[in-house]
Amino acid sequence: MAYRTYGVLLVSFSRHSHQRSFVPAFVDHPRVRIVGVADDKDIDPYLEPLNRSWADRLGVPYHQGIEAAVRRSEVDIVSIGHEIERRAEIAMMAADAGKHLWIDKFIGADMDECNAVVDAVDGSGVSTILPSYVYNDLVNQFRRMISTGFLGELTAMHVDILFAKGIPRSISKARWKTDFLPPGRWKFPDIKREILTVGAYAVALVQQCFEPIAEVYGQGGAYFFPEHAAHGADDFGTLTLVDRSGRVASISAGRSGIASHGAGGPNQAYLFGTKGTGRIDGKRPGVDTHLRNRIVHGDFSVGDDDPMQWHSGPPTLLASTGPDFSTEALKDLVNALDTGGSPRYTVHDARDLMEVLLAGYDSIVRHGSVQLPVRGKEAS
Amino acid sequence: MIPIDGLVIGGKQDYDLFREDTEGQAGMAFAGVPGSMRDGGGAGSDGETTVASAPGVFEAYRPRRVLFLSPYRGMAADVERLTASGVEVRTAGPLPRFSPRRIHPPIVDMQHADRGFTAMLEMSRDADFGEPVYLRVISSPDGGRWSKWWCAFRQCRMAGALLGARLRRIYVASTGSADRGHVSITLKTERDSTGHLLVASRGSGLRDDVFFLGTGGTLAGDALLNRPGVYDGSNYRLLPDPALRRLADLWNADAVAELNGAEYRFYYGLLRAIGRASRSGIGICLDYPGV
Repeated sequence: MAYRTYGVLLVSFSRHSHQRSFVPAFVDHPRVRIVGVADDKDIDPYLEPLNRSWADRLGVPYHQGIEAAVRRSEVDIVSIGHEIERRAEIAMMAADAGKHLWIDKFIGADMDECNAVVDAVDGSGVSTILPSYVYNDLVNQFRRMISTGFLGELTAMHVDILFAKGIPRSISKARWKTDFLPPGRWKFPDIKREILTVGAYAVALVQQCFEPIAEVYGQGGAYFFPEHAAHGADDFGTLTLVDRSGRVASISAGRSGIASHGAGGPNQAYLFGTKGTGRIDGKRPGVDTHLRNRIVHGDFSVGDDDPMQWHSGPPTLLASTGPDFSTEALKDLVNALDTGGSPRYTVHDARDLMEVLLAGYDSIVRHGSVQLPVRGKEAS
Repeated sequence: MIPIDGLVIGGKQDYDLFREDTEGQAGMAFAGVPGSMRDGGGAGSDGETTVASAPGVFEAYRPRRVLFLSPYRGMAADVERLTASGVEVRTAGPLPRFSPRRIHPPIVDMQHADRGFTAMLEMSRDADFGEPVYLRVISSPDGGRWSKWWCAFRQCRMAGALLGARLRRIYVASTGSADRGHVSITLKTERDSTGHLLVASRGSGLRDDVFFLGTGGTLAGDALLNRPGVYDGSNYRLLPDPALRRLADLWNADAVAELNGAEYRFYYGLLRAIGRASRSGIGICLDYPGV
């Protein structure tokens, strides 16, 4: 029996998305083909040439106007890499058109948007996947460790995920905004909110093994970068999560500065069980690469055009050899489409993820813990 | 009676940590807290005398001074009796069950005996480290709730020293009970630096896995990498810590933690919070006094 091929429309290569990192998985999968690139007509000046260059490189048409492109017959899957503020609208439009959804990290910028996407998807029967969270080696190793039984019953976790990017500098107290910026605005021209951006990976890991989160305690206000301090917005933060059965997870997440870690930033978890404590390094397995020329001549400079290194990374001393998460996620999606099953991380999980993150921000602002659910619907 | 200079009362983990140090000192003996030496560990300085529990040992050895590294039921009475008979007593944490009428011997900051801590403190004060931002410490003591409380106490003191600032507030979450309990403390200091202090329920080989972020980079003390190990037939076994700890340092005057009454109350509040948070599944915030 011949299996069908699925056409993917890439919606936007916006600078804050991972669309470009998804492309190799789409190109390499034998039953997936990229059928076009699309974006709004009125977009940032930098973006249209970028979108067009990707379309040219992939040999596919570029469409101005997302809705018409989404409704084209050759499109089966819509890969949404637009800015976070546009993702919900595009996701609902695509679900309404009966197209399956591949969404980069977040389905909306607030709980109303996230709930609206979940409702639209539930009514449409389409499959959804957020590829960034559960197909990486941190989660893979975690699942393997749990399945061995060595830990006994899992009672607690700790996760450190940090990006060793950007150059922290001394921070003048005069430029330090003392009031923490409430959630809602996620990016500025010079910064992104890092509990959202990086902490999301850690929260997603916790989601994999805990019951729904019942309490969140967040902490911010300690800074690496003067840019973040000036906005009162997080470059780093901590979350402590308690689930409905009382299990406790603690998380540190953020952007800690270039060369602060040999592998580009820690990606590690500790699992505390009734029989033992486990430790996982998501950057391993790997090959330690202490190559003299690369170290002595390593370029740790940070370009003026990308000071937070959103599109670049530091030299590292470890070459990870784990699987590529996009490839694994795409296999899961295609399998779900073939079998009528559900991928491992869908818009329902993403909605709950956003609720935890928002509660973390609220907790920081209020200087106290936040009970869940606080906004909208009960956790999925 | 075998008179000795110093007696150390502790659990199996304490014994492993200080074994090389105590075995090299004449006149020093180690006694296990009740129930801690079921596998036969624990020996006097001559390597011949195995002791089973603390109280009986006092009479047998008549020590000049006694250091309690782990708490146990009945410890307060032992402390009282020893102090009354002129023995110099120090403890590694507050006496369980506070009473204002009780004698409270000096508490030592255990990190003073830890060369790993001293090295990290020194490096963190180098200008290259910049300003401290985040500290994470994971430890896994033997014993039940009191042992975990002492461990949390030690971690708090260690955090204050490394972060170079007094604590401002902590949030305590915990799960499980007694020796299966896990404690998670989220802290903030007066200088806005943050931290997680975690007391794990299982894994006595895990003593102080430290991850310390500053604006200038990272300092890490990896509990696994810092210990030698052996691949045997089917597993990888960690050997005891190399001699990185010195008991003698705990008898110095600067090893004594200077705690005022409000700070004592804070740490007794921490003990209560650990229990309440575990029973309720809800975290508890405590403000550090004087802020």
